[in-house]
Amino acid sequence: MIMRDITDKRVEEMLRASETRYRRLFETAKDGILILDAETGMIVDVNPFLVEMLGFSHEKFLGKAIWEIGLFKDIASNKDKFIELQRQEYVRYEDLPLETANGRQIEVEFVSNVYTVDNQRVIQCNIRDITERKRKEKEIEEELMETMKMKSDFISMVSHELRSPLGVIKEGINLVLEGSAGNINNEQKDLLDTAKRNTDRLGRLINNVLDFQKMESGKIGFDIRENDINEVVLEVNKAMSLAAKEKDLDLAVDADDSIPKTEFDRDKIIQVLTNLVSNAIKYTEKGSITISTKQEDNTVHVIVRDTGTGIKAEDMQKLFQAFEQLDGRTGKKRGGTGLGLAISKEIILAHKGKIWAESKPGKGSTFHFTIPKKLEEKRKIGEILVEEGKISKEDVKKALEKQEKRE
Amino acid sequence: MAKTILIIDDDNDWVQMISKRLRINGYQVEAAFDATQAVSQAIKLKPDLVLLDIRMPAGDGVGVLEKLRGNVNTFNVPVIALTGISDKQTIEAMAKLGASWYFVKPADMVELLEKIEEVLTEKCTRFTI
Repeated sequence: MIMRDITDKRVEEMLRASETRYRRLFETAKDGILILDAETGMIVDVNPFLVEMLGFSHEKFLGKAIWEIGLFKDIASNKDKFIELQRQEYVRYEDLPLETANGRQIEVEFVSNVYTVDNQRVIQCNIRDITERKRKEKEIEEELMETMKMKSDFISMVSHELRSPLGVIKEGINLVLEGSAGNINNEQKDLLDTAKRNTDRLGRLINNVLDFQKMESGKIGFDIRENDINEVVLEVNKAMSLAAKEKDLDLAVDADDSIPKTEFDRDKIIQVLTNLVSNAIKYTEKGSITISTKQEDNTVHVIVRDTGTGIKAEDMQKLFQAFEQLDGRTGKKRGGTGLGLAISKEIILAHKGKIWAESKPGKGSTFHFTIPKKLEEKRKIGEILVEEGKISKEDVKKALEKQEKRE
Repeated sequence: MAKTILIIDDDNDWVQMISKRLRINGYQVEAAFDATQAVSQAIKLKPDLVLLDIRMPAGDGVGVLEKLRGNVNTFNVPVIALTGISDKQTIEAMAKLGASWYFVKPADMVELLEKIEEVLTEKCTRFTI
């Protein structure tokens, strides 16, 4: 009998110690804790931290249903939320707006789980005030946006400033070349032709830089319509046939006639295809270039294959990066701006497609791109930046959209 | 009789090029390089067309246009405006003051010449937003 008494006492003490421990956790937690009766939704207990967070007195909480407190702005939908809490073992809201007793709007993280104690099902809700964290995140977003905008404005301004004197130079050269300042001899013509070629090249470079920057910052609009990819391929083929002929290269098209009309921006895809074919011609000394199209389940697949110098394995990585130019074995300057593939990549990504390359040094290269047959919605290029990790926060995308709405 | 064009622009180099180009095309060309010079020259010359750089120092371009419109000798002269990065405010001001057209600098030479031709043969009179 004595032993049983001692055991009972021991157990009682342990229970009490345990209760005290958990009670203390509850009382001193630095997050709000709400305990609800799972059947009725009545608040059974609330910890001091939550009382302080929301500014209601302890008494005001108890015995009320969770939606009666007047904390949640839209009571009807929160009744639905309660049903969800009851039904699911575990619920998490990353971002719930709440109003405190004195009308202050805060944002909270809300986690709830259901468990049974003493045959009573209860829902425990953990509530964390994330208002301050959210505010700081928003500030950083806004700063990032500002930086992007400043960079973009700067580039626009610089391109503009670069174009003005270029215009004057071009005009000066043209006036002399056409004889408006007197007859010129062959040597003068030759030198001026070279000068003119390079001013044209400079002009293209400036345009490319501006284009690329606009694309990166999501400013370029896309004109998505139903188009025929084979028709586009034939047009590029025609445009590039002279260049191919000059290098004695075979340029051929292998089109899949069964491909239906698909949605894409015609001018932009022409730009991509022209870039790929022009690169193929540039990097091929003999042999052929083939443009082929084929359809797959959900996409249209375009392939540009050449028998050129190929691309080294270590260069494959930088292929689509801005300003990376590969010189090939001869180390000759290949001309161009180093932006073609980077821009092509941006265009294809904006179409929610894929672009990639395969190559065997010495044997040739094959460039592929696919675009979906149907585009769900026009894609903002800001999304690509987030995906590529150029901007680290997912929310910057939201910030971009917010800015669009503000403008 | 040859048509007279007055170019109002502070960029000497650009003025040299465009003047040469216009003279080749048979026009008489005069130039003014600042706002005050511009207005008095316009009043004296009574040109058939004014090519006006809106961006001139201190944004005087719009002021010049206002003065031209306010003077009995020049109130009706067709004006083609050249602007910097096109901002809505300036464009609205020009439309209101009855500019015939505007180009963003640097303007495409071919397009500019075509427009000058159109304005002088009255195929193009005013632009509206």
